[in-house]
Amino acid sequence: MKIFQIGTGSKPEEIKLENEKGEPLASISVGEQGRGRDMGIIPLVGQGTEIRAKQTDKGVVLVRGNWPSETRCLAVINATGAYDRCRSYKIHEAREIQTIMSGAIAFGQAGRTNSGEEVLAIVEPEAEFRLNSKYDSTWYRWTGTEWITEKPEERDARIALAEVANGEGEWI
Amino acid sequence: MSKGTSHSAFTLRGNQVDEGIVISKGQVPFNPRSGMTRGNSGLLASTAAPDGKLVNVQIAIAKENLVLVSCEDEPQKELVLVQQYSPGTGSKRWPSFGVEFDPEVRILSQASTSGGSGGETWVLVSAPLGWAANIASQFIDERDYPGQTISFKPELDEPGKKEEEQENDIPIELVIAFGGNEEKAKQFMAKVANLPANRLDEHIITSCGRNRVKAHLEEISGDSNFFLGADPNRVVSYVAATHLE
Repeated sequence: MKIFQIGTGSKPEEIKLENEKGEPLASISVGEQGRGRDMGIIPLVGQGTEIRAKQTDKGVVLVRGNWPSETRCLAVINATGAYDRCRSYKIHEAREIQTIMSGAIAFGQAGRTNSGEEVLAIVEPEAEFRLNSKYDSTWYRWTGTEWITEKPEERDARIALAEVANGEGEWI
Repeated sequence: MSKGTSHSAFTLRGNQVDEGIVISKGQVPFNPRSGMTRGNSGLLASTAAPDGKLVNVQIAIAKENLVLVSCEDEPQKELVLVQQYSPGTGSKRWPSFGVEFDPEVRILSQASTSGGSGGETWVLVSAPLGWAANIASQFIDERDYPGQTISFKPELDEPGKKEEEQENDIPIELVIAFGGNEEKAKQFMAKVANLPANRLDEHIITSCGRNRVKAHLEEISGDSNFFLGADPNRVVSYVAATHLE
């Protein structure tokens, strides 16, 4: 599986598994450390271009290897983004997503101002979810090979057109 | 699935009715001129038609969203994109446009601005033939005229009725000058009729500015409230037409 970084209002990007010096990363983290916050660390071991997740007694480990590519992917989903007092900082209307590690991101030193989630999830083909940014929402959909982002109106339009093309819906 | 009723498509904004509804990227786009479109404004309709204009359509509803399908059948109703608006601060002297939808009109979808200066709400409706022109004919888009919420008036469509109304009507420029107050317009017409025509100075009435016109007419009428609050420049042409032509 490939692993992607997804944040509010931005296009999903594949995470580079090496640092600036070209050394392989030792772990992936979600969330933050500190008061009112929560951090999860997922170790990253092995060598190769693909990643698979392994569940152990002590937690999840990401294993690199030359595994056959598959239609699932991994995603680090940051539902929090920039601060906005009135926004909801969570993943909305998620479908076909399995969270394997979660963390919390908060604002302010005391961590008492709004907080939200950042998770590492396994994403199945045709999985989708919605994230809110300061003024609007964006839908994210994994097709099995790529991520598609849509505004709610674009998604509603696509679904309605598909229904009518299939002979469903009601004529006025 | 049997096909629905064929609609001819129109775009209505104030006193303008344009044939067709613009399509862009598979949707009826929401492009207001005032207000802000941050946030999710709402989906008006989607279509598989290419970019351009839809003129004759059939309408389907799928999962509460509208889908427009182009057709060639004889239209039996109108699909109207009603662009209601309230001008922003920079156009505050211009009237706002709203519509009161009666039970014969079916509201199908809408999109709105959120915040900003002014605002717009666009509504897609299915209405009887001739509805859009009836609404547009009633809206007066003149500076300093008050905002209007227009309702459908069936009597406007009766043949001969419009000409009969126009004969009895107060001149439209007076209605506009008095902000739609027909009572004041009639009072003003009576005052103009009582002016001593032999004391009217043709040069002042036809060529001078606001202050001189005001002073002259108030003097010869003996009435300090001769203009009833109207702008002298807006009504002096009526005085000239009544007494000098």
